[in-house]
Amino acid sequence: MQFPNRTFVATALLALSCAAHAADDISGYVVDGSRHPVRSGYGECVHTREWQPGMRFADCEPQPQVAAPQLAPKPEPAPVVEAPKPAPVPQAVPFRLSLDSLFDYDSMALKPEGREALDRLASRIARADYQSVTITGHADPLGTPSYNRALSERRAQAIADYLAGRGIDAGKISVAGAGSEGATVTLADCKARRRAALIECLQPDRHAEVTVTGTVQQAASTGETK
Amino acid sequence: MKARLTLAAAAFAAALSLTAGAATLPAPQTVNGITYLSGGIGREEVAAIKAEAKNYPLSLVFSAGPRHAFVADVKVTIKDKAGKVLLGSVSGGPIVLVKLAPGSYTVHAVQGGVALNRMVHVTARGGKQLVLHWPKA
Repeated sequence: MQFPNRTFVATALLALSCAAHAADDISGYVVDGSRHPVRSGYGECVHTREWQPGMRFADCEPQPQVAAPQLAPKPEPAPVVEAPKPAPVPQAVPFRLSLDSLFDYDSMALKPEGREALDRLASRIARADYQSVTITGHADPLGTPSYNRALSERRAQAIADYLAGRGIDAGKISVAGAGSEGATVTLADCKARRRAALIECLQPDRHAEVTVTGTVQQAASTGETK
Repeated sequence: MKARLTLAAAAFAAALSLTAGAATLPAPQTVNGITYLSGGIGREEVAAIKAEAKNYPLSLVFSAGPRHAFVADVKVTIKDKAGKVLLGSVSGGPIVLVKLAPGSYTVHAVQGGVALNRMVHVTARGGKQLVLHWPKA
């Protein structure tokens, strides 16, 4: 059931991008054999000597405008790492923490490297003028749903307790456990027969999202992503 | 100097909360004069509850599915031989320890809409363990 769907989406995208290219004129642009624009290391399309202002091809020209610093900052939350902005903007910044880097399997005790990771997170949150910190724990699909919900909530609480111990206002922290709902890697994705290999395969499911709402003074880094 | 002190205090507080977190046994609760303790999420809590089980005459363990995995949100009712409810529909699991006087009891446990009923005899020696298993996870 999933395969026909995926194939359909891929075909549709391909057709769309072909249509967009065919509608444009390549004059003024360096293109490869498949008529894709050649880009510089900064993602800008490489112009030929014939290029003049007003010429456009594919998505080449809007890009420098988006990168221009004088544009007004957008209010919507940005999940992607952004360039530092001149003025602090209120936004929700989600961090994704691998729970395997914080806890051993089925354990509630923070590992030393987990404490270090949370120390870095705490100092990053402290730098923001934060209004709320939401921590949602996620579990892999092994085990029962009720156990996984409880486990993911307890681990989120353990992270909250640690951050509170590092000076983050406990009154602004809320905690939730999603269990294995919406797991990105399913048992069907893992062909592993051995339990250890299965647990390893399901590693991305064991994570926590930490969403900080507030004024970010400094560009967020997703250095904890694993 | 002040900064260093604050830092040391923070480290101490964190160390304290860590040891507390690792060794914490869930708090016992008392309903209608019956004391029980519920928990077992994570291996540290399981170990702490297993060590504590000697102080409780009855241990209930809840599992489900082909792998006998722990289930956490079970509604537990315990009745005495006369059918009187001693513990009424408390939430618990995967392990529940109960302080009961020697005698015969009925344990009624509901998980995922499926009820299980078991007779259990608690002796003065204690140490009775009852596993309630739901075949469908």
